[in-house]
Amino acid sequence: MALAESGNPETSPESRPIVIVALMLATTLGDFIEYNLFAASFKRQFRKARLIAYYRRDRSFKDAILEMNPEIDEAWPQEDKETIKAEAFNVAPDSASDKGVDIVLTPSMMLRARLPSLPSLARFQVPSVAEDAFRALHAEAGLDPNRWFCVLHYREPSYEGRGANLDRDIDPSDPIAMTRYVIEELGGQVIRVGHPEMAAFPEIDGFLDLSRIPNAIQVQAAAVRSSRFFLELSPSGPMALAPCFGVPVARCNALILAGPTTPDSIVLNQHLLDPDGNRVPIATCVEKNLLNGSVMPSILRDRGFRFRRNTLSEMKAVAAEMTRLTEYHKGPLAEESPARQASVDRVDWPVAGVRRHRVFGYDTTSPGFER
Amino acid sequence: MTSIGDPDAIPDFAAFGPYTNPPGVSPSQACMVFAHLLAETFDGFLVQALYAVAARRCFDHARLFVYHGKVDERLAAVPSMLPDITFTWRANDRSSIPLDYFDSSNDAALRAGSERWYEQSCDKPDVMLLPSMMDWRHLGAFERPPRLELPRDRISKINKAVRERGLAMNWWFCAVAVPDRDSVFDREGFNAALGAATETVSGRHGAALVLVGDPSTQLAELPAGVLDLRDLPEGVFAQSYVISKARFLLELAPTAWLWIAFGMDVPWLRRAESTEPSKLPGRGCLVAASLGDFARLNAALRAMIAETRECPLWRPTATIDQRPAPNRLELPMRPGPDARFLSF
Repeated sequence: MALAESGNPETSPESRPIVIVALMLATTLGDFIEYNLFAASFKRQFRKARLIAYYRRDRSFKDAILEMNPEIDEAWPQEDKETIKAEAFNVAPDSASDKGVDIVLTPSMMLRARLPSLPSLARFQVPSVAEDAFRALHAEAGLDPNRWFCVLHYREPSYEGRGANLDRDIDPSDPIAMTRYVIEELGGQVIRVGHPEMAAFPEIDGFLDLSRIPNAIQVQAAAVRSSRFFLELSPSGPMALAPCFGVPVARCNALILAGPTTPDSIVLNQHLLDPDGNRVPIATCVEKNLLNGSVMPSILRDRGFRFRRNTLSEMKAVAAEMTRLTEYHKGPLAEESPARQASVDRVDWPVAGVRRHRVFGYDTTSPGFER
Repeated sequence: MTSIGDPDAIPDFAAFGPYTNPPGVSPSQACMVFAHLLAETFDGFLVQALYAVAARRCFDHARLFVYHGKVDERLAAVPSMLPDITFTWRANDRSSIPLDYFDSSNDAALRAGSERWYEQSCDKPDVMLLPSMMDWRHLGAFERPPRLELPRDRISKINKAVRERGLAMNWWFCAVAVPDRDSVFDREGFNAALGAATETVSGRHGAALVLVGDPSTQLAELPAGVLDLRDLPEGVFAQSYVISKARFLLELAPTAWLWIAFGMDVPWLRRAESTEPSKLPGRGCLVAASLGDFARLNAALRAMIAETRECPLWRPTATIDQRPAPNRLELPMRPGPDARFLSF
């Protein structure tokens, strides 16, 4: 590097775009979607920027997700053990080389808890072919186009490649009951997303099961985009699609406090029990940050703490509250609300994690807790 | 029966984040900065190392990890003069780190060979600095500049050597940076300008001009009043020590040593070819003069001596700036203020 007095010292939009490389290093669906949303939203803080996605082409959904991210300017897919080393960016800051990078976003920077801190979240765009396919399926299933629907998902142990997760997997009986509840009691319709290995549901009027279609993440995204809210009955990756379209989320059986990005979203956590089986008040969980994703699995569990799932009646209360909160969205297939374009050229980093959604305390949904 | 546990008996993990504050504010949630020092030149490496430290010093609580490949002795000494570096990863060859080493999931396709990488959470940086991000023009913009600090165990030996070479301890001196052997510069003009500078520094003030830099750079016979300390033992450490004690550094041709002066908070005077603004940081001044413009050079030296009147003897060791950190890093950084031109 020479100390030449040449070169344009400004990295302003008038000179050249800010180059952002996002290391979208995740094999899981939810993380990969969230990295995409974070990087896209981060880019939108600059008037002129280029976003490069570095990722491994190891899961079938990845290219489909990237295709829905309108902020990606370039993708660097890696196969097998391929990699790019930091040396590839070893150019002087004032170099005219196209290898220059202004900002690198690592997975540890693109935390989901930080998503609500960004001034404007990007919106994914569903390809028209997927949108058309969804509308055809919607009609074919006999769903009422003038009636709202929510998207339902939960985790089952059958998901190929990931296996069972005792804290997150639930039996389909509660989701089936919840489907009936939304349709019969709340007046909506239900579309399930997921994977073909999920347990089959019985025939229910007003229910469409998109999980049966393999590799249909874009069709599922189209359903999420048009939904009134996303009803997640246990933590699982597809929920991450909802913030990509500004769709509110109701998370049940949650293990952490984060996930949604809108104020009209709700998180209902699993009951945290201390070693004696006493329930820890949700206020204590929040105040002492017990539900942040690392404290419980790495520290508290070893000390005898454990989770207990939400009951069906708690989940019903959440769905009912969600319907009330989203009263503004009674329509059928909603039009996409555009993301606001931010226009600063520099950001202060790192940002704190913030919570814009409501934590629906289990003390409220289940006051009569018994050991 | 409703059963509520004792909340007071439950440990508090509020500092674990990320719902409390951004990293860097509290000691239990330090900001992790990782910098790739990949420059192969002395000045480039210095700038990258200083930049990394400046980024770390943006936070009250941070941990700075740097990586460099196989480098020569001069470059390898730099991290040991930067106590803000938490840990230095060194390679035995020119290789650099695969981007996949920053995959903090259990499914990472490539994993770093050292468990220490993960124990120290190097896979989870909050800020990552690549060479193209570490722009020398930004260095003057950091609220808390980086500071070089000599390893304490080296100082007494260097100090003894300096005294043995006859540098007066009871008066100030001016360090003059000599370019590296393979630098292209006007050697005759350099020597002539050096001789002219003695008129002001030695003739008027009785102070010494002390050469620092590459000992293998051949120069013509030195004028009286010039002391050559380029061959002191302890290499970069000794040269940095001499600069740190100087009233100011005079740079007649571009060298990397200006960055040492910057890191030691020593004012500098640099000869410039033109009056174009410069983002060069630190307490420095520029003078637009050719090597043969002795009158202008001496006028600049007089002005510089007047500006540094707070340093009548050897310069005291610079103190680390203890102002509160901003606890944020601007991305991308903006250039700092221009260096000041001395005009006559």
